[in-house]
Amino acid sequence: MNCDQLQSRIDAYIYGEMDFHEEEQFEVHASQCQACRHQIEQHRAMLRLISEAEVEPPRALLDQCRAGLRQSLAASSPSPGRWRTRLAGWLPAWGPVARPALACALLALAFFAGREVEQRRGLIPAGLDLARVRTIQGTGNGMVQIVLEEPHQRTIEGGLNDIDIERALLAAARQAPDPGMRVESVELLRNRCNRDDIRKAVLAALEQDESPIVRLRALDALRPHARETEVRQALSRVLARDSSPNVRVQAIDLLMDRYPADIVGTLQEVIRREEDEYVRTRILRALSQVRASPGVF
Amino acid sequence: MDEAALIRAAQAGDQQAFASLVAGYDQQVLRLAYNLLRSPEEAADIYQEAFLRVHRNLAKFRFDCSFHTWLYRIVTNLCLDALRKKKVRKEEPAVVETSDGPRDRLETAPEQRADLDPQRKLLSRELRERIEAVLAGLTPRERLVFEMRHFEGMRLRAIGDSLGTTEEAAKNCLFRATQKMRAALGDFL
Repeated sequence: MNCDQLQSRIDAYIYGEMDFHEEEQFEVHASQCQACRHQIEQHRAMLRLISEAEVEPPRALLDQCRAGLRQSLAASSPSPGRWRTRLAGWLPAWGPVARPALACALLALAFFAGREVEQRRGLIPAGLDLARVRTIQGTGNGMVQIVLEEPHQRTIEGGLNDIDIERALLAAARQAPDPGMRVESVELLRNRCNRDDIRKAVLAALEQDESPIVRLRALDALRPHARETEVRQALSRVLARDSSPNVRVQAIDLLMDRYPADIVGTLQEVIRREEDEYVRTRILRALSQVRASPGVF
Repeated sequence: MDEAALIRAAQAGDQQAFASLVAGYDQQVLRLAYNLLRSPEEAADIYQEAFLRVHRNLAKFRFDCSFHTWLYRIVTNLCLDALRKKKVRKEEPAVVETSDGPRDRLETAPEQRADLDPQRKLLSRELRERIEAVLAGLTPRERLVFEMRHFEGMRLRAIGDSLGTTEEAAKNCLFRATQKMRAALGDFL
């Protein structure tokens, strides 16, 4: 790889979109060429600047959109019974093929995350050293076959319960540099949060992930466990500290869903320094629901 | 209930399942539309139209691809149309010099946006305006690919699938976008 070729591939490198061979060539050249290393750093700096131009839609806009969609659907649909009957006539009989297909798609995403973890952080699940996923295929009975490209190619096969797959997902949820991959990993783990290690990984994503989308998905995954002390304590911390108003509002909703009275103190504390008008409104509404005052007397 | 089960239930007319399906994706969709169009009204229009189309066509969804890919085919088409219309509508088109020659900027509203995110207040006005200008100077397709890869974290293959093109074409589009950005922001780096 020469300097021109490297510079045309910096995006692919930074976003982890190269194959094994290409990345090797890229890194070998970069290690020997100071000018190219400077170009890579400049590119990273430029992307960081651009990241600051991102805007979050106001939480109230999402609520308005959901309400608008509900109204439009209600206006355009016949009564539920007739609608259901009419749709039932159109629908094909969905076979058992669909579930493995979707599982494969999600597993592919999760494994690419795992691959990135391995490449960039060196945190590798045991038995998957230096592996990159080349292909994923469903093999029936909920099993998948995965071709890994290590220094030598190898194939592993298993379901979501497979230990290597599970470790890759846990590692990806914690460490994948791509937030989209972390979201997919949390999604795949969400039905298994009754296990301590998985719940802890999802709690860590909720409290520590830098992406608000990942934190929101983690929060959603913990919804069935909102009664548990450990989860409620984490939600209280999120409410007090999270930088995203959307995440704070979701935390309020979840905390209010179960045992609302026990978070009155947290809400009273948080509202003293909450600056976001919408979050303040939600806290006031929550306090009013449990007939508590916004201040401590 | 997992996603496939939700889809089947929604296909069978379960409105609650449809609402849950929407709730799994609608923040991402709104965020993408809002960042691209920088207008709450237009983002809300995209949101509404996208999920109404999903509702109308869900019975035809055959699990040939992931629901995410199917949804994003709808969303990206709507966003591209809106970005193109926005270019045509612009009353006094400014011109940005790019490596492909002069191009019209997209309409921007920096004053309105500056208050939405406290982080953005930290950027100097000049830099913020430069970033807005360079984003606006991208073609609708470049803008969309960059947004989906950089901010939404989607893989280039998934972006290609959503846009009905190849991973390679998406990669080229991303490259053109970031080259323009570097050219425009070089003195801030």
